[in-house]
Amino acid sequence: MRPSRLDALLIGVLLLSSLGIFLGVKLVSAAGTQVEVYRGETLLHSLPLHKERLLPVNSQQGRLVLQIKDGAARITEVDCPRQVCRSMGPISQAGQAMICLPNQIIVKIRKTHESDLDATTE
Amino acid sequence: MSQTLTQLQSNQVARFSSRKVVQLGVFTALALMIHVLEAPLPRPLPWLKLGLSNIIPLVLIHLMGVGEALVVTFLRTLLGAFILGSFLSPGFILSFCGGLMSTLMMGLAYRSLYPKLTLIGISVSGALIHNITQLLIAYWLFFQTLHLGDLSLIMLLPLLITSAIPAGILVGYLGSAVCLRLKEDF
Repeated sequence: MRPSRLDALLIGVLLLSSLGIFLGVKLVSAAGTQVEVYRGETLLHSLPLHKERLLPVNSQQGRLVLQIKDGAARITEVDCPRQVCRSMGPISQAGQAMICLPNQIIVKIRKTHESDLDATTE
Repeated sequence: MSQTLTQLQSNQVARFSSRKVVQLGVFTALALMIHVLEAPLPRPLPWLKLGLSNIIPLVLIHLMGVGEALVVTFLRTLLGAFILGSFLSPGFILSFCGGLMSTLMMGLAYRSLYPKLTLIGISVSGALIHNITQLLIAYWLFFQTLHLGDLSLIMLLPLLITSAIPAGILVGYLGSAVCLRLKEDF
């Protein structure tokens, strides 16, 4: 079976719209300034994105290591079999997130107003 | 009046003929086999896969009807979950809703646009709805409480839309190849 014109049109429209959404999101999103680490709903750490840092995060299920480097955050080590959250990074734009479901750790990027604090922790 | 009534009755009989029951059973078994065999295949991302079992609803919409395709998809996702041990797990809910919605979409597209839109385009539309349904349900089920914001949801859309295209084209080609070979039997 050969694809018809309408098939080509559908595929073309889909490609164009995904390109449009991609570019639109790029345009709207801003570089983040703050890295927030949550376990479930509780905020564990809030760190500036511009300071290089290696941060081990523990939970009842296991641990992971968060690396902040060159204005981006990534998870470099995690002790779970599927390693999904490692493939989610690096992230640097406000609104992006990495989620480690087995450890229930969420790393989010935020854009905050200038703050005098270097880091806060709870 | 009486003629239409007999016609209706004969349609009813044809709808539930043992021939049809056997055919649907065979198609369910085929879809189930593809569904189960595809599960352990390696994937680029944990939630991206080809969805080859959608060949069966596509073929059924073409050869029999939307209702038959929906029945087979319903049975395929349910029995597949029993075999893979994922019944009522998040993965099951996603594949169940995604499968039914995409079959419904393919049926709608087939009824309104076939043959201007070929089985390839119909299958692409099904794959698209499958992905979007799963994104919405995953968001609603798991990520709503994370307060990630809507941007992170929209950011996933380009990936889900573009990945639906190759998967949909492949399923469409395979489905139309199957239809060509099965045509004499229907």
